[in-house]
Amino acid sequence: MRRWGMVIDLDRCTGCGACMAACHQENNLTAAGPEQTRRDRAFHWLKMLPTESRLGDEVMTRYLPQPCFQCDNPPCVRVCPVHATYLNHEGIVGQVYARCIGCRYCMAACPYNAKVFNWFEPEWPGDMKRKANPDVSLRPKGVVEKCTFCHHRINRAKEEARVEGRDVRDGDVIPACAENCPTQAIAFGDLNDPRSRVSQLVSGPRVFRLQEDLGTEPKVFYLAEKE
Amino acid sequence: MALRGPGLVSEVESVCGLCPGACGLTVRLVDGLPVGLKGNPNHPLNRGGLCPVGLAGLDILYAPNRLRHPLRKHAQGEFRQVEWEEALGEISEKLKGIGTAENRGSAAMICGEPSSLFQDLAAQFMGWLGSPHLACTGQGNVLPFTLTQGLREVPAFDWSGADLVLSLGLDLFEDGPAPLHAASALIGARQTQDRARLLHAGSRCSLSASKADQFVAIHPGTHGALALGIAHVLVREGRYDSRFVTAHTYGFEDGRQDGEERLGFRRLLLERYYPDRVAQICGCPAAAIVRLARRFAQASRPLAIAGGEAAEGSNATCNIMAAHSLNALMGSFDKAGGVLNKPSIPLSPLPRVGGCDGEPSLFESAQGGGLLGTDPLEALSQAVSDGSPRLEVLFVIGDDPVGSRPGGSRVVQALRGIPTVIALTPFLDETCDEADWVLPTPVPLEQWEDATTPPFSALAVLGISRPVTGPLHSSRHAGDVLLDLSSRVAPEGASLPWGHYSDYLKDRLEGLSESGQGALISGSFEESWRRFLEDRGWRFRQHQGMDDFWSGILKQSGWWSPARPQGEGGQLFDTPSGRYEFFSQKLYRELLDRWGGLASSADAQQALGRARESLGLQGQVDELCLPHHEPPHLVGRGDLTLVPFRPITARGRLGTASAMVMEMFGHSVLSGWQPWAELSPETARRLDLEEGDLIGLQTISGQIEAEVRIRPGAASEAVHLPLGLGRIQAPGAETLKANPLNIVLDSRDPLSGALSLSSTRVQVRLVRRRPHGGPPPHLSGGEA
Repeated sequence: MRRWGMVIDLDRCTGCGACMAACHQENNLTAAGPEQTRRDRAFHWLKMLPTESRLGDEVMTRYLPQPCFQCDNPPCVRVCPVHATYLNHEGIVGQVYARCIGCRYCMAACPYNAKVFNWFEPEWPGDMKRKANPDVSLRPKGVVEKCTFCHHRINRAKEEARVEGRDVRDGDVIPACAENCPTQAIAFGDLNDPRSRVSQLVSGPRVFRLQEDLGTEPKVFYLAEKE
Repeated sequence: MALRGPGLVSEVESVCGLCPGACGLTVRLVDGLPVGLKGNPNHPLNRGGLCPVGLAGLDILYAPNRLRHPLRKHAQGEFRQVEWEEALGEISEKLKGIGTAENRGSAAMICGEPSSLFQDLAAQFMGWLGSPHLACTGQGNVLPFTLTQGLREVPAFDWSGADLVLSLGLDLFEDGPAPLHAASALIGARQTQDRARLLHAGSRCSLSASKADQFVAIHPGTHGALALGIAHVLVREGRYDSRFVTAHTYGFEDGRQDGEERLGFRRLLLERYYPDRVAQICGCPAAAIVRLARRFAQASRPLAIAGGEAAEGSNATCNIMAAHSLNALMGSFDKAGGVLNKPSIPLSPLPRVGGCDGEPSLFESAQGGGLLGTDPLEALSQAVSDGSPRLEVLFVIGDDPVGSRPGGSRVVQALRGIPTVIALTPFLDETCDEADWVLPTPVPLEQWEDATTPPFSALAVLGISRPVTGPLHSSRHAGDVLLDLSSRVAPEGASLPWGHYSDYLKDRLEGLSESGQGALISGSFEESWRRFLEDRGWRFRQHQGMDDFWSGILKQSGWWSPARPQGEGGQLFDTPSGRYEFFSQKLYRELLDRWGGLASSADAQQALGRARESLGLQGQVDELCLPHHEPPHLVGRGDLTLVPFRPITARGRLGTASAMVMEMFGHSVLSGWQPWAELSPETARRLDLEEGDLIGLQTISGQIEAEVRIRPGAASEAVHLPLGLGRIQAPGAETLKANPLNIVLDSRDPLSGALSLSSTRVQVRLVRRRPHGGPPPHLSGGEA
C-alpha cells in the first residue's frame, strides 16, 4: 500500500512563489479579486508562510511553502458532518465537492489553515476558460476546496504504468508545485517505499513537521537549513 | 467552454520572453490549445522551474483586457478603432517624408524589447530610415565597467562557477536579470556539489537576503562603503591576490599621474575605510565587516557583484566600482567563477543599409544628465524642448517610458512635442495616452519569440520559438510591422531584405549554424555540460546544413554555449594602461578636460575641486577617480528614505495583467493586489505603527497609500515600496493608483546620468489602523 508524502527542503527554497503559481494554474484556481483578498478570502491551495527570527545580530527569514499536509490523523475528516472529506487508502485527504455542504467545520478544525472556501462563483473573464486544465474539475460556489497532492497526476502515472505493464516508479508522480520549483526543493513520493527519495530524505537529521505536538501526523515534511 | 475535439495532448518547447531572464518552457496543448506551462528542465538557464510571472503566461495570453485592434487618436483626443491597412498606410505616408534630405534624422525609436535580435532589427530599420536615434532601454549601468575595465558592455559574472558570491544590493533571486538562472546555479546545486556560499548586504530583507549564508543589513546607498571596508581587511591582512594586483592592475600603490602625486588605492583603503568608520557609515557592526571579508578571502573562487538598490542610487557608479574592486583584489578575472567577457553569439552579420554611421544619436547627447553617460529619456526631453533635432515620428516598442519611471510628466511633455507617436504594445499603458497610433503586438506564445543571454550571464543563450498558437486578436509582431512599413515606403529592392520577422531570424541564424559552436538545447543539462568539458574545443556538428539546424533549433527551442576564459588578462582590460584601473584614467581625463586643468599640479587639483563641486560629489578630491564611498544625495523632505524594489511578481511589463500575479503580488508578506510598505521593527515602534496599518507616504510630488509590513532586517531609516503596479493590471484592479514611481523625485547619478530611484525622502503618516479581521500578522519567533 502506498503512502504519498512530500518533503520540502528549506535549504533550497528561495520563497519565489513558483509553487503557489504552478498550483494555481494546474488546479484551475481563480483569483478572488482585491476586495475579497483584503478580507483574507483569496484562495491558494498552497500558501507561503513567512517566518522571521533573529540570531544575534542577524535576521533569519524563512519561507515555508504550505500545501495541505495530508495528515494521517486529519482533524478535518473527523468533523465533517457529511463525509465530504475523507482519508483515502493512499493517505490523501480527499474532498468530494458534490457532497460538501459548505459548513466549513473542516476549515475551523484544520490547525494549518490549509482549506479554502469558495465564497463566490469563480470568475473566468473573457477567454480565460480556454486555459483551464482539463484534468481538474472546476468547483462551484459554496464548497470547501484544498490541495489534492495533484491526485490527477497520480492517477495518470498509474494509468501509464498499467499500460506499460509495470509498477509506478519513484519519480513518476510529480505534483505541479514540485515540477515548477526552480531549485528542486520539493520531493514527492511513496513514504512506504524505503528506497524512495522521500523516504531517504525523511530519515535525515534536518527533518521537522509543523506543530507535531498536535498529533495530526502530517505527511508534508520540511528539511531545515544546513549550516 | 469551447469544444475541443478529440482531446489529443501534445507538448512543445518554447521560450518565456516575459522578462530578460530568457527561461525555457514547455507548453502543454490539448487539441492545439495551450492549457499548461512548465519550466524546461533541459534549458541551461532555468534548468526546470518557472517564476510566478512565467507561469502566468496563459493568463496573459487570454487576458480579457488585451488590445484587440489598432487604435488611432482623433482630434478630440479619443481613440477609434482602425484597420491595420489604414494604420500602416498612413504611417508609411508619414515615413516617406522622413527619408528626404531636409527631414533626415527626424525619426526616433525607444525599444524596450529584451531580445537583442529584435534590437538589431530595430537598428536596421532606423538605419534604413536614415536616423541614428534609437534607444534600447534596460541595458544596465555600463559606466563602472568602462572606467575600470574599458568595456562597452556589462561583463558576465560566472556565479555558477564561483564558490562564494558576495552580492551587494543585488537581489539575485528576485530582482536580478535572471533570477531562475541564479537560483538553479547557486541553490539548485546545494545537494549535489560543495555548497556554494552566498553573502548578501542590503537595506532590505529580500529573498536573497533570506537565502544568504550571511546577511548584513546596511543603510541604503552604503554598499560601496561596505565593499571598501571589506577591501580594507583584505589588504590589511594581506589576503588578496598580490600577483594579480601587481601584474594586472593600475593605481593600487601611490604613484604619479601626469607628474603629480596620485593617491594609491591601498593607502586610500588603509587610511579611510577601516572597519570602525565603515561600520558607522553602513550602520552594521564592525565585526560583521571583518567576518564578511574573511569569508570572502577564504573562498577559492570568490566573486563580488553589485546591483539592485546599489545600482539605483545617486552614487550607483561609485558603489559598483567599489564592489568591482573586490574582484580585482582577488584576481577573479578571466577564470571559472570570475568576471568574464560577455559571451557572444556568432550570428550572421547584418547587411549595410541606409547611412547614418557615425552620426550622433540624440539619446546619447551630453544633455542627458551625466558626466560620462546619459539617460535617454532625459536626452529626449531636452531634444524636444530645444527642437534639435526636430522630431516628426517616434516609435515606442515594448516599453512604457511614461509609466515606468519617475518624473513621467517630463516624458509626457516630450511626447506631446512630437507630431506622430506610435506605440506598439499588447496592453494599453500610460504611454498610449500620449500616442497618436497604438498598434497591438502579440504576447509570447503567439509570436515568434527570441530571447538572448540575460545581462551578467556567463552562458551564451539564444532561445527561439515559433508561435505556439495563432494570434488571438488582430495583433502583429513588432518586427513584422517594421518590415511591412519598410516595404510600403521604399520601392522594391530598397526596402529591408526580409519579408517577415521569421525570415530575418532564419537569416541571422545561418551564421550560428555555420560557426559550429555551442549546441542545441537538448538532452539532460548535465550530459551536455560534460560533453562541453570533454570536448574543450567544442566543434562538433549536430546538424547538416541550415535547414536541418533551423528545424532543430525550433524543435529544441534554442541554442547555447558556455563562456570561456580567453587567456589571462589581455582582452578583458581595454583601458589606457591595459590593466584593471583602480585609478580610472578615463575619468581623470574627463574631469580635467571638462574643468580645465593645466600643466601645473595646483591647476589640476583646482580643476578636480571644481568638478567635484559642480557634480555635487562629496568624496575628497584625491579619491574622486578611485573607488570610494559617495554619500547618497537625498532630495525632498521627510525623515525616511524611500527605497523602491521589484518583487519577483513584478518581473517584466506584462505580469500584472494576470489576476493570479496580482493576487500573489506580495506573497512573501501575505499581501495581494496592493502595494505595501516595509518598515523595520524599530521604525514602526518609533512611529507607533503596526502590521497591517494603512499609511500614507508623502513626498513633494505626491502621496500614495500602502499597508505596513514590519520586516526585521530592514534598515531603520528606509521605507521599502514594491514597484510594478501601474496601468497594466488585471481586471478588477482598475481603481488602484499605486505606482510608487509617481512619488519618486527625479534625481540621477551625476556620473552615469542613470535615474536614481532611492534618493527620495518621504514622510509617513497613519491613515487607518488595521481593521479587525484584516490580514494576519506574521508568524514570529520561529526556531532559530
